[in-house]
Amino acid sequence: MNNDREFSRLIEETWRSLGFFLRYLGLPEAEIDDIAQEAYLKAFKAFDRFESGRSFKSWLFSIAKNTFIDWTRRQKCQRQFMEASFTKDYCETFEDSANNRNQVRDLLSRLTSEEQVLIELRFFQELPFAEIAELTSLSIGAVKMRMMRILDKLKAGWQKEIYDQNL
Amino acid sequence: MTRTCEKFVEELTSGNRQFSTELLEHLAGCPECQQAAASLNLLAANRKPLSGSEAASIAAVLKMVNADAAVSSAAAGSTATNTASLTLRYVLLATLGIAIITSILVNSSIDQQRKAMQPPPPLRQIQPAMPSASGAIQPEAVLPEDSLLPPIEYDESAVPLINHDATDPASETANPGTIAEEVNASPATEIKMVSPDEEEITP
Repeated sequence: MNNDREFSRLIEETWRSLGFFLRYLGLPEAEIDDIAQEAYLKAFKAFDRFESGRSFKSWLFSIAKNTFIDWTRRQKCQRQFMEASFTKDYCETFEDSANNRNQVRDLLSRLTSEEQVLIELRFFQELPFAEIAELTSLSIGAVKMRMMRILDKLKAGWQKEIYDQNL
Repeated sequence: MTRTCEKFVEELTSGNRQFSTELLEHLAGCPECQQAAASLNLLAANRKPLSGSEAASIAAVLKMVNADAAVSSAAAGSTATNTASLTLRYVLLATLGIAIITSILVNSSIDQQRKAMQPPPPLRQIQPAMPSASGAIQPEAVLPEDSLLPPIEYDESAVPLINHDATDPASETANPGTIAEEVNASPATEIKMVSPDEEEITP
């Protein structure tokens, strides 16, 4: 029963990130819910065997990635990634009110879809660099360099008063 | 960002925002890292809660997962019952087999004991020559009369008596009733030993 509750909490935490991750991999919008469900089901079935020392989120995302690879084999289709719609949808998950003077949308628009996924996995899902590297098929050094670039982009044009307000 | 800033990239991008003393000291003296940290804080603060459609999707996943868990537990229970049933069958079969083997062994053992205890078959016994103490002969087994051969009666005169030990030729003819003849080998009847090649074949 505790496992069920814990699993429910994990689904709520990871649902949005997993969806963007699958889209970043190139999964069509119409398939995202089905593949995400399949990945969660696989994770739930193996939840008892999950090694507690490892990050559950990393494990779940790797299951989702393998499920996506299986799907592409079944469908025999190529990755069709729509960057424009991805960025738009990603920005939709953030508030952009008059209070922050469109700053959030401005910040996010500076990032590529890959960088948005990296921020999602690192900052919102707290995955270690090594596991992000494994999921995105990048080296750890490459992940680190991309993070540096992301931070550079985010700080550019930052105004002192906003910094004092938000820090 | 400088090489010093690079050292803090992993910690700075961490979502838990629990910065170490070292990073806090660095942030105090590095405006670039301060701005990057503030941007990330802004993103975190403005993240929308899950929308209705997302919550519905999550509910659907939870429902599916729970249904699958129920099916799995039912299947596991059924498997356990089947296993118990199979085990019981094996136990019953093994018991039956042991019972059959035991009964065969016991039967053969009883037969052997019965054979060992059985009295030996009656033997023909010769009537004792000596009378018993009571004076009457008590044979243990009496042969039927028909199984006894009738006494052979013969004429002693018809049977020649040959005394092979006798060395005197005259004694052989002492008894006129004998039919023994003395064969004297004459020269005419002499047996010639010839080889098969020398043998004359008369038609």
